[in-house]
Amino acid sequence: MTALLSSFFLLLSLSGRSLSAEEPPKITLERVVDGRGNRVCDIASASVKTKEGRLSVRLVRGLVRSDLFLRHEIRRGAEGKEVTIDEIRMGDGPPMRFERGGPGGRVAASSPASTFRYFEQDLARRTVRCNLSRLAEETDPSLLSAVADYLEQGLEDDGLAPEEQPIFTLRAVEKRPPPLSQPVRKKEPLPHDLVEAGELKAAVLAALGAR
Amino acid sequence: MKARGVLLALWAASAAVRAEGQSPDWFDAFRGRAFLQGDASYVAREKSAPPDASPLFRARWVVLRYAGFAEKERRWWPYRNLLLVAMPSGARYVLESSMGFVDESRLDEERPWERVASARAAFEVWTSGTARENPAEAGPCEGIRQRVAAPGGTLVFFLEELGSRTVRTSLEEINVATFDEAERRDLAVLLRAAVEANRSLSTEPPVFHLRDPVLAVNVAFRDQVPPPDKKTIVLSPDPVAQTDLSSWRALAHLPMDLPPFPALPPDGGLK
Repeated sequence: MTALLSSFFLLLSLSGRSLSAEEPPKITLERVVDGRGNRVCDIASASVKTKEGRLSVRLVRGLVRSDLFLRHEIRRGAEGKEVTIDEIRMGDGPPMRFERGGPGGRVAASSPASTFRYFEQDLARRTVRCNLSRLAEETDPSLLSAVADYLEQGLEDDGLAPEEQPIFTLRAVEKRPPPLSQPVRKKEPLPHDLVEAGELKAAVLAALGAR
Repeated sequence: MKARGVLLALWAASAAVRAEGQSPDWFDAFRGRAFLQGDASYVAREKSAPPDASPLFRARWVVLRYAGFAEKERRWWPYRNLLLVAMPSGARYVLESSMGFVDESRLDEERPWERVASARAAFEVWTSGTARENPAEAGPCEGIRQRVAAPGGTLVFFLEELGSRTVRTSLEEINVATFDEAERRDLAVLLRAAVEANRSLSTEPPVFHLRDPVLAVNVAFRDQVPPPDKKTIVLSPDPVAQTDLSSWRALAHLPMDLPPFPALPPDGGLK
């Protein structure tokens, strides 16, 4: 574990960004199973406090073909204002990014190709939904269906984890009827001695520090 | 025959460019011989100003028709409804409300709708899609939607949401990045023009209203549109109306030759 943390801090220092962790990252590994105990997917959550703010990442493995990464960062922007940056990406693909400058301000949503700015109060409007849909498509054609799968599998955190923000924003894009019955899903700790637990932990730590 | 071959080659090249994802050219939608259906000149003054007061601007309202379909469908030929505006400073603007050639099998392709052009830049609004019977079940981008294309940015939006804060703020940013300060000041003057809803070329379809090209500037500058009681500029017939359109040819993309549009038989004759 010590070696893993050392490599994590080394990764942060090599990342070329001013991200510097003030404490070891908090990591949670969970397995989501259905009513019969069959694996649905694994979820790794990691967060770290930095000098600039707080950074957290959620990695969902096994839900869709690629890993689904959700990333949430709070940091001080220009003029000392708090800026929140949320990202969602599939595997090694580029992220779709949401940048918020504070209450009442506009959200800047970006794909690798373009940016669209909107007010949160207009999220349900077709203009916003259409433009977010276009950005999602530009980022990764399977992004919206991964969001739908995440919701259909009932993977939302009970208390709405901050890194799930892109899921709840993109949920507004496609209006889908609610499922006839909510699937039975149970989260249980993923034993750390499993090979896949080590791989999952390494992947979420890399996502936490490498970007 | 040779000329037709060249035209076909140009048409194919234009389609190929569009297929590669570039924005279509506004004037590609207006092909065929052009005709002048309407021409009227106005002078704009404050409602309270004396008749000999200096005009705020002069405007010429022209409607062009393009022989896009067969003669028997002449009533529905593509049109450009134009307001050619000259400011006392010499600055000129073209406001336009248009409908180009429509391929009914490709209604999801973009079609010209409203345009505001200065000598430097153009703010274009394109429209695409068809109305949905049940908008609640439609996908996020289905239905009739608009797209702004201007040097200052682009925006896809739904017209019924023109008043939303997101659309208004984006349009304002695109404007500021498209037109310079003097142009924006001139165009803001046009927003104060009170145009009667029933001022039209004829009463038979298609009815061309003077307010339609004025709508272009109201879309582009949505955030600055004054309330009706602040629209204090009136348009009256210009006693020194000009007949020559040649000075507008380049800015308004007018064809060289503009014969009068032949009178239509009463509605019901030509369909």
